[in-house]
Amino acid sequence: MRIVSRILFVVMLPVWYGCLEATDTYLYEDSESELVVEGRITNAKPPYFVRITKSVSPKFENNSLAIVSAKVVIADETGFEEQLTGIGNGYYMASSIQGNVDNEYYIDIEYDGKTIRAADHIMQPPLFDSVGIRQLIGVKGNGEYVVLYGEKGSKSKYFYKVELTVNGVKSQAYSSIYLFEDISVQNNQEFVIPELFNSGDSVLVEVHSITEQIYEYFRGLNKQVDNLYGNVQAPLLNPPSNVSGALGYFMASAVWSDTIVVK
Amino acid sequence: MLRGILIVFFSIFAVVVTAQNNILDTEISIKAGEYSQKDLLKYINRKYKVLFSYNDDILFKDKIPFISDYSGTLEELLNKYFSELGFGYKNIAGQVVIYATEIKEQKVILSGYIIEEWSNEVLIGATLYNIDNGVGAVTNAYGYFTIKLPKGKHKLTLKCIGYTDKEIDLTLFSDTKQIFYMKPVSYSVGEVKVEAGRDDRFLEADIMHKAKIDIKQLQQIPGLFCEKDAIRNISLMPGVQSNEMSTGSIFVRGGSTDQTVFLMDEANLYNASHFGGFFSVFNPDVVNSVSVYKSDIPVSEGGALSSLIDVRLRDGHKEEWKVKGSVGLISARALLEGPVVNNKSSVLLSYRQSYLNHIYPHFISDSVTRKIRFHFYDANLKFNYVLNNKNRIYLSGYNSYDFFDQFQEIWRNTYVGSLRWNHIFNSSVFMNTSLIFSKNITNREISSSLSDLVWQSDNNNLKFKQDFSYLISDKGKAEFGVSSVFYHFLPNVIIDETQNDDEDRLTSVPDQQFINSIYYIHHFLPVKQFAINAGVRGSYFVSNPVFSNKEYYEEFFVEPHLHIGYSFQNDWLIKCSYSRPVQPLHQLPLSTMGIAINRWMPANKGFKPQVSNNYSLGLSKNFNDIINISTELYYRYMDNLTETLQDMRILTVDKPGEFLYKSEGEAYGSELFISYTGSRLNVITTFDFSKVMWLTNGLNNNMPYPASHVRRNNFNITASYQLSERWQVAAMWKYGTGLPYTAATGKYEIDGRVYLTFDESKINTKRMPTYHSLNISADFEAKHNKRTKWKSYLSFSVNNVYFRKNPLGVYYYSPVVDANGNILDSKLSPSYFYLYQFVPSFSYRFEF
Repeated sequence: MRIVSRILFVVMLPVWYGCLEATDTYLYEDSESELVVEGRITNAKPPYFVRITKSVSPKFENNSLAIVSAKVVIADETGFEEQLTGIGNGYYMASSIQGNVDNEYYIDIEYDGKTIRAADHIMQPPLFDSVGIRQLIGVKGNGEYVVLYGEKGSKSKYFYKVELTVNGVKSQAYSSIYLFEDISVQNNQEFVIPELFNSGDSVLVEVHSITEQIYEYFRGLNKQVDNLYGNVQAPLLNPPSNVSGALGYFMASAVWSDTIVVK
Repeated sequence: MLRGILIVFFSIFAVVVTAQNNILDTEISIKAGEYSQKDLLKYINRKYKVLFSYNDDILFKDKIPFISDYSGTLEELLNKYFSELGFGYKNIAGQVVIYATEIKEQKVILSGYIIEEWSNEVLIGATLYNIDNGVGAVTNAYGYFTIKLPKGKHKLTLKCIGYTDKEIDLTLFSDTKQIFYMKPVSYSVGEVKVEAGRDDRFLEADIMHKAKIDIKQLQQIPGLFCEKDAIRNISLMPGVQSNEMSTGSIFVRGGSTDQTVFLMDEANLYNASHFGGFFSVFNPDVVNSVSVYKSDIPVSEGGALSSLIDVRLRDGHKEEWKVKGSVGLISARALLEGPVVNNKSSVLLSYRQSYLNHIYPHFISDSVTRKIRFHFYDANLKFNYVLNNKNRIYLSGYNSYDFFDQFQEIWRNTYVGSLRWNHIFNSSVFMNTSLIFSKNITNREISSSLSDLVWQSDNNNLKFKQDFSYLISDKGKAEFGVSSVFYHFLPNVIIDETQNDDEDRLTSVPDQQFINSIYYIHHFLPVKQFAINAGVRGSYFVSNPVFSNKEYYEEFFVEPHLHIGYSFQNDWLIKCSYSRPVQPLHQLPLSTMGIAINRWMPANKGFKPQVSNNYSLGLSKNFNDIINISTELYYRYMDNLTETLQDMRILTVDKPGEFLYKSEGEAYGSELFISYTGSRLNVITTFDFSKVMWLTNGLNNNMPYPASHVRRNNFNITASYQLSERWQVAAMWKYGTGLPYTAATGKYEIDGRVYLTFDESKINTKRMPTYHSLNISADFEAKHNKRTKWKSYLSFSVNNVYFRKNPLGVYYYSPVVDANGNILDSKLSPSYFYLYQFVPSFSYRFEF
C-alpha cells in the first residue's frame, strides 16, 4: 500500500489566486525576546548538538541572537548527565552521552537566572529498508522523485520526519520538512519525498522516528508557513512545543539513513 | 349600510300583478354567469313575472358569480344571495319586498394565488390586506394564500417587494378562489403609486424574521463581470457579511460560514458558489425569490444556527414560449421556458457555462495564479403540472460541474432533485409534500506517467417533508408538519490507480445522521395591527444509526421561537423576537481560496449540536412608501461551536474531533436600513455594527477574542437612477472596518529557517486596513422589435473603480516560484492578500 504518503500530495496541496501586497508596517508588533532551543539527540553515535538563541524583533535585520553563556545539560533516564560544551554561535556539543532506543532524555538550560526544561523519548527505529527513484508528476512538476520503501509498524503508530542532504548540503527550505505517520498504512509502505532531483544528485536521506509531540511541533511550523487565507483565516499560533518557558524543541529520535544517486 | 330598517320605500315601487298562493315557491332557473343583485331581480321579474319592491341604493353593485346553472325556488335563491348578505324579504300582497336587516356576520374564505402578470410566476411572500377588518395574509412558497373575511364588499391591498401595489374591490358571497395578478415595478417616470395606509405593516410580523430580497432591485446593482447575481450582493443587507472570496460564504449576525444553510427549492446545497467564488450557483434568470432569515430560522425548516437563505426558482412561463440569453466577458447562459399544456403545465430549462480559462489570465500578472484553469457549468430543469384545482406537482433538477486546475485537477459535481406535491384539501387546508435529494462529490486528482492518485469525498442527503397550513379563523392560522432527513457522508476515498489497472483503495468510515422532526407554528392576530407568531420544533436525531462502526449518539432537542409585531399610527412597526435554533450537524470548513472543502460531522458525545439563543428588537417607520427606515438590535449566545484552526487532517481521519477545538460565542449588534424609492431614483443605505467574541478552550489563555470573520462596522450605499426609458445607471460603495488578525511579535530561527512568534494572549487583537470600493454600472435597453418580440440589453460595469487593494487576509510567507510558475519554496515576506483592483466588464442579454 503506497497510498498513505501520497495523501500529502493530494489533500494538502495549497491552491490560491489573487495578489499579495508587501507590507510590514502593521503586520508586526514588538514584544520581549524569548529563548529558543534547538536540541537533538539520536540513537546514532555522538556528538549531538544543541543551539540556544533568542528571538528578535520582526524588524531586526538578523533573524536571531546567539546565546553563548548558557549552561546546557542533557541527562538520560538512568541518571547519567552531561554538561554540553559551548562551541560558538549559540551551539553546544555533547560528546559522551549516548542515545538509545526506548529511553527518555532530558535537557536543562540555565540562562539569565531562569531554567528551561524539556524531555523526549527515542522511539523504535524507522521501518524503512531501502530508497529508490521514480519518475512522477508531482508538486514540483514532472521528474525524478525519491521513494522510501518499508513496512508498517505492527504494534504502535510511527511518526516520521525526513531530512535531506543533497550533494553534501542539508536542505533548509521551508518545503523540506517532510512529516508523515503510518497510521493509515496496511502492509508495505512507500513514502514519496515531494522534491525534484537532478540527474547526478547524491541524496542522503535521514528518516527520524519521532514522538507525536515533536511531530505536532514541526507540523505547527509547517502550518505557520502554509497558513493560506480561506473563508476564515485561523488565528496564527506558535507551534506546540515540548520546551517549557521557551520556543523551539528538544527532539530525541531513532534515525535510519541511506544514500542514493539520481541517474 | 342601513341596519334595523324593516320596510322602506316599498310603496314607491309596488305594483300588483297576478295573484299567487306563495310566490316564494316559484321555481327559478338561472344560467351560469355573473349578475348583480339588481340584475337578478330584474331577470326574475321579466321571466317569472315576480314583482319586487326595493331601494336601489342598498343593493350590492358587484356581480355575483354563478359558477354553474342555478335551479331552485325563489326562496332558496333569496336566502343564499340576499339573506346571508344582510337583506330580508317578505311576500306582501303578492310582491316581494327586499329590505336591509341587521347583518349576522358570516365569514367566508378567500383563497388562491398571487402571480406575476407577465410570466404567471407565483409571487412568494406577497401580502394581501383588508383594511376594514385589519386582517391579512402572506403567500406561501407556492404563491398560495388563504384569508377569512366577512361576507360582503371588501377592499383588498396587495403588496409585494419589487411589484406595484394593487387595490382590489371584491364582494364575497361564499368561499371563493381567486387569482390576483401583480405588475413588476418599472420605476418609470410618472408611475402612480397606491397611497394606501400602511397599517398593514403588522403583517411583517409574520415574516419579520425574514428579509425578502427585491431581486429586480439587486439586479440593478453593479455586479462583478456584469453578473446580476442577487446572492453575491446579499451582503448589502445589514447584519449580513461576506468575505468577497466566495459567494457561498455568508456570515450573519456574527455566525460563522458553517451556520448558514442554502436551500434551492427546499434542497440543501453543500456549496453555494462555483469555484473561484465569483458566481453563486443560482442562475439569475432562474431565481424567483430569495428570502434571508437572519438568526431566526423558521421552525418549519430548522437545521441552521445563524441564517437560512431560501432560494426559490421560477416555474416557467405558462402561456407562451420564451427564450432568454446572455453573453458576458466570462460566461454565457441561455434559458428556454414555456407551456407544455396551456395554463396547466410549464417547463423551464436553463444552462450556464463559463469560459474563464481564456479571460482570467489577462487580469492576472502573477505567474503562479496565471497557471490556474477553472471553469464550470450549471443546468436547471423545472417542470410543473396543475392536475386540477386541488393538486399541483413540481419536479426540479439541478446539476453543476466545477473544474479547477493548478497543481492538481479538482472537480466537483452537484446533483439536486426534488418532487413536490401541493394539495388543497379545502379552502382552509393546504398541504405540501416534498421528496428531495442532494448529492455532492468532490474529487482531487494527480496524474503521473505511472499512476493516478485520487482523493474523493461524497456527501448525500435524502429529505422527506410534509407541511400543512390550516386557516383556523380570520385571526389565526396554523402551520405544522413533519420531516425526516438522512445524511450520509463519505469523508474520503483515496484511490491509487496504476497503468496496469492495479488499484489500491482506502475508504474511510462513513458518517451518518438521521433526523426526525415535528413542528407547529401559530400565527395569531389577537387585535387589529398586532401579530404574534409562535412556534416550536421538536427533533430527535441519531448519529451513525446503521452501517457504521462509528460512535452511536442520540438526542432530542426543542427549538422554540416567538415573534411579536405591532403597527401603529399607520406607518410605524415595532417587533421583537426570540428563538433558539439548534444545528445537529457540524460543518467543518476548510476553505482555501477558490475551493470550498467542507467536512460534515454529525453531532456526537464530544461535539454536541450547536445551539444559539437569539433575541432581537426592531423598529421601523415608513414615509408614504417613499422612505423606509428600520433599525434592529440583536443579541446572541452560541454554544457547542467548533474551531478547526484550518487543520487539514480533519479531511482524512475517521475521528476529526481529535483535531477540533470547542468554542462558544457571544454576538450583539445594531442594524440600520434606509431606503428611498422615487420615480427615477432609488437609494438604499445600510449600516451595521457587530461585536462578536469567541471563547475557545485552549486559545487566547481561555479568554474571549474577536471572531476572525467579522468586520465590526459596515456601511453600504447603493443608488440606481433611470436616466431615460432605456438608460439606467447605478453605483454602489461599500465600506467595512478591517478583519481581525493576530500580529507577529518576533522572529527566530529553527534549523536554519526563520519563523515568527505570536503573543497567544492577543489573538485577533489587530485589524487589517479598512475595506472600501466603488462599483458602477450602466444598463441600456435597446429598442424593442415588436414584430419579433426581440428585446436586448447591454450592461457595462466597473468594479473597484479607484483601484483599492482591499486586504482580505494576511500572509507572512509568500511563495518562491520559478519562471514557469512552479512553487519552489516559501520566503518570509509579510504582506496582505487582495483579490482584484479594477475590473471592467460588459454583457449582452436578450430575450424573445
